[in-house]
Amino acid sequence: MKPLLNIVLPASQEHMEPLRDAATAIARESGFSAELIARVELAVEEALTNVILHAYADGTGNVSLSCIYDDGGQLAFTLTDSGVAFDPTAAASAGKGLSTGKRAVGGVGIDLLRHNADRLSYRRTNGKNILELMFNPESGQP
Amino acid sequence: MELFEQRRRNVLIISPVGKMDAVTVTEFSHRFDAGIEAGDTLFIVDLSRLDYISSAGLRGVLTAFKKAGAKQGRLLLCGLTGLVREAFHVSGFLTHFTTYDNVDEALDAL
Repeated sequence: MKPLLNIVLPASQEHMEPLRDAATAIARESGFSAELIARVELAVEEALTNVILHAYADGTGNVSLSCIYDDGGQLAFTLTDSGVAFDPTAAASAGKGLSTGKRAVGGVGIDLLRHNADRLSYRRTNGKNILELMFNPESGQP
Repeated sequence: MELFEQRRRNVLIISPVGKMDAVTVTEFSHRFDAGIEAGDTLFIVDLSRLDYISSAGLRGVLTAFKKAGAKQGRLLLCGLTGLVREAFHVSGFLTHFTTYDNVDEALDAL
């Protein structure tokens, strides 16, 4: 299946916005509702930010973003990096109930990623983190 | 994102409009910091025209909240709707901020 999108860029802050906006453009072209487009935007921003900030200890490495329609008609984005192993589907959340001063602030992005994607799946293959974010066009509320 | 501001009584009211993300949050933080440097201690952040906030934006608001507190000041939030309210809720931040429906209600609370 031909990907709708396949971009590889250095995982740096300046590339968050163009990558995220490429994902958002596909959601828009797919006829997603305004709300679902915003959910795609938010989930992809959080996933990208996580790679940009944490994947590469020496600060250099690539991130790739691709997108297909899967067999079920869902929009599936795949984010790949070769950094340290990290599974956002298993990571601790920010820890609700702690005071604002004590919360694991880094976990907030993971909470937003999990909340806004309809489904997330992670695998570690050949030294790569491969995170899939799936969105169902019929979904109103994840 | 666009930033609008007004002053009522001795309160600086900052209204970010559009999208507060990893890129634009710095504009908000700079404006807030300039207020602190100019001696402002009472702030209302009116989110009623914000339609997107990511974790970077949430962190920016939280940092401002703490800085205001460190100056014995206060920062109140108002006008949270839709996905912005949801982001505050999902992140757990909503339980730590007192929020108000609109600027007038927040002003009355200060």
